[in-house]
Parts: sequence; structure tokens; C-alpha cells
Amino acid sequence: MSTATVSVWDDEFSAAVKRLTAAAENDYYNPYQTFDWPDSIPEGALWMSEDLMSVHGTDAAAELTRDQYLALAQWESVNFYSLNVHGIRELLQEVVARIHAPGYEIPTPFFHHFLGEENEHMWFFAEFCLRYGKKLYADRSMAFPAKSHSALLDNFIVFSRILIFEQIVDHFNSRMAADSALPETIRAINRVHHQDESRHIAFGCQLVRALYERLCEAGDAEEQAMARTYVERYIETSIQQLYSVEVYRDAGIPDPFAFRTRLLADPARQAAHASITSRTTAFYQRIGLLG
Amino acid sequence: MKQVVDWLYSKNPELTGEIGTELDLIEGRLVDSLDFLEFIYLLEEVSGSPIDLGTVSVDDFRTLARIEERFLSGGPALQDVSA
Ligand SMILES: [Fe+2]
Ligand SMILES: [Fe+2]
Repeated sequence: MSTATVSVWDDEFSAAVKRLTAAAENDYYNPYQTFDWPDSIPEGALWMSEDLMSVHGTDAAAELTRDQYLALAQWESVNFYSLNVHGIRELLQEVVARIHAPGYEIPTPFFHHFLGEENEHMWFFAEFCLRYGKKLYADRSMAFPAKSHSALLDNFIVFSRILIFEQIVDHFNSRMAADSALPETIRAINRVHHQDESRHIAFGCQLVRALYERLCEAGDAEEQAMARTYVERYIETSIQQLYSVEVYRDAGIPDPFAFRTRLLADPARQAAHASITSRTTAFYQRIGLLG
Repeated sequence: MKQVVDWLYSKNPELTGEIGTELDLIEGRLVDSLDFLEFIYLLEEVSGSPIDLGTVSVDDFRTLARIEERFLSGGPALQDVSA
């Protein structure tokens, strides 16, 4: 665990923490009493917005039967919330390791809200998967020991991972909350999550911006290049996670590995990937990391 | 094993020499956490068996020899460990 110095946090960041902490206090709600949780999702319902499905726009989509297509929507929806559960576990660990630690005095008031809210998000996403999918998809990630770098770059990477994850998730949440083709239960969890995440994303943007400015001021060209490569690769990995062999298998697709490879290689998916990552790309362009 | 080696070369285009069976792939940065999903899918596809990450460790991915033994030769990871 690395520490940060107080000087990382500039006035713009401190003001954002104050504003977002006040907003979190005002918007506080009881998630355990927020949702209806009907016994089941209506038979034949669409569980995922069609334009968010990993087959959207591809020839492969047209080859699926209606049953396979609906099963795919169902399991991609369950996989999306499962990815949320595992992603939240990771980000909770990182923030827990920093709250009230020396150097984190300025962000700590918001860390309290972040930890509390993320614990609740993890609960309602897992609840959805276990009630209606009867399972969570397993976490398919593994942390290998990484090359050591400065505390500043380490922090930049950790908070970039959190921010990119939250921005991509929010792309799905905003779309599904507004999609009248989906059952209300599904729209509701996406809507509620989107509301909390707007604060987390605003916080993350400020945090990552401040860290990147300090990293540039430190003047180590190699570390700046590593920051850029990491962000580019993490965005790519985040997209790849959306194509799940386990999901294709559960949807009854015969050769799930070949199916996944074919979708990832389909030029029709490039526009979808650009749309999913557009906020992230725009943010990193704005702070000068991406060209 | 050829598919695994080919994949490592495709991920590391600057690599020219042979990849020894005991070379530390993690220490040598031939594979890292960000590549892991693609790597595990490749191993599952080649071996024809799902890999339960609850039963493996980082060291199981460290060398080609270990990968072969653990995942590609019907070793313990390929058997039912649910009991
Ligand atoms: Fe969340
Ligand atoms: Fe969040």
C-alpha cells in the first residue's frame, strides 16, 4: 500500500470533495427498502437492452434462434451485475486500504460515502443475480505481481481502474434505466445505481485529474508513458470482459469460444466499443493523457 | 502447447528467441493481469476443460512447464474438485 502526500490534493479537488460529500448526505437512502423484488422476471422478457448485447450489429446475431437470443440477453444481464460485484470487491479493498491513512485526509470524508454506497450496490447487484439467475458468474481475474513504480503512479493506476470501471458500468446503467423494453425490476436497479454513480464518477474524475497533474509535474517521462499504456490496455481489457464464454455456453450457443472470437473480430463491434468507452476516452483526452 | 507459445509471441512482438519451458513468464512480463482473461480462455479452449480459479494460484501460470503439467496434460486442475 502506498501513501500520497497532502500536496497531491489541490483546491479544485478539495472543493469537489466538499460538494460531493454534501450531495451524498442529502441523497442518502435505504437500499434494503428501495426495491420491490417480485418473485420472478416475466417469462419472455428482455433482460438487457438490445443495443448493449455483445452480438448487437453482427451477422452472428441473426443466426441465433429467438430462444437463444432471449437466453443471451438474460445471461449477459446476470454477467453484467456479476462483473459489478467483483469489480466492487476490488475497489472496496483499495479504498479501505487508504481511508484515514496518512496523506488521504482530504478525500477521506467522501471515501466514507463511497464505501457505504458501494457495499450497498454490491448487495443489490448480487441479490438480483441470486434471486433471478440463481447464481453469480465467477470472477475470472487474477492479480499477478506487478512492476513497482512510484506511489503517485500506483495511485493513478488504482483510481483509473475504479474510474474506468464506473464510467463503463454507467454507460450500461443509463441506457437500461431508460429502456422501456425492459421489466421495471431491471430498470430500477440500473436507475438507482446510476444516481449514486454520478457522484462517484465526478469524484473519480477530480481525483485522477489531480493525480495525473502531479505525475506530469514530477517529470518522469517513463512513468507518464506507463500511465498512458496502462489506461489504454485497461480500457481494452474492460471491453473484452463483456464477451463471456460462460454466458454464450449458458445461452446454448454451440462453440462458445469460436463465437466469442468471431464477435470480437467483427468490424461491426468497433462502433459499439467506441460508444461504451466514449466518456472515458473524452476524459483522458481532456486531461491530456490520450491524444 | 504450440497455441500457447504462439499467443505469447503475439502478445510480445519484440520477442525473438525461444521461450524456454522454465522461463518465468510473470517475472519476465510476458503475461500480466491485464492479459489474464484472454490467457485463461485460451488454456480452457486448448485443454477442453474449464479452469476453476478457486483451485489455482499465480504460480500455476509461471512457466510453460507448469502450465503444461497443470492445464494441458489432464492434471489435477482438470478433474472435478468440487468434492
Ligand atoms: Fe457502484
Ligand atoms: Fe461507484
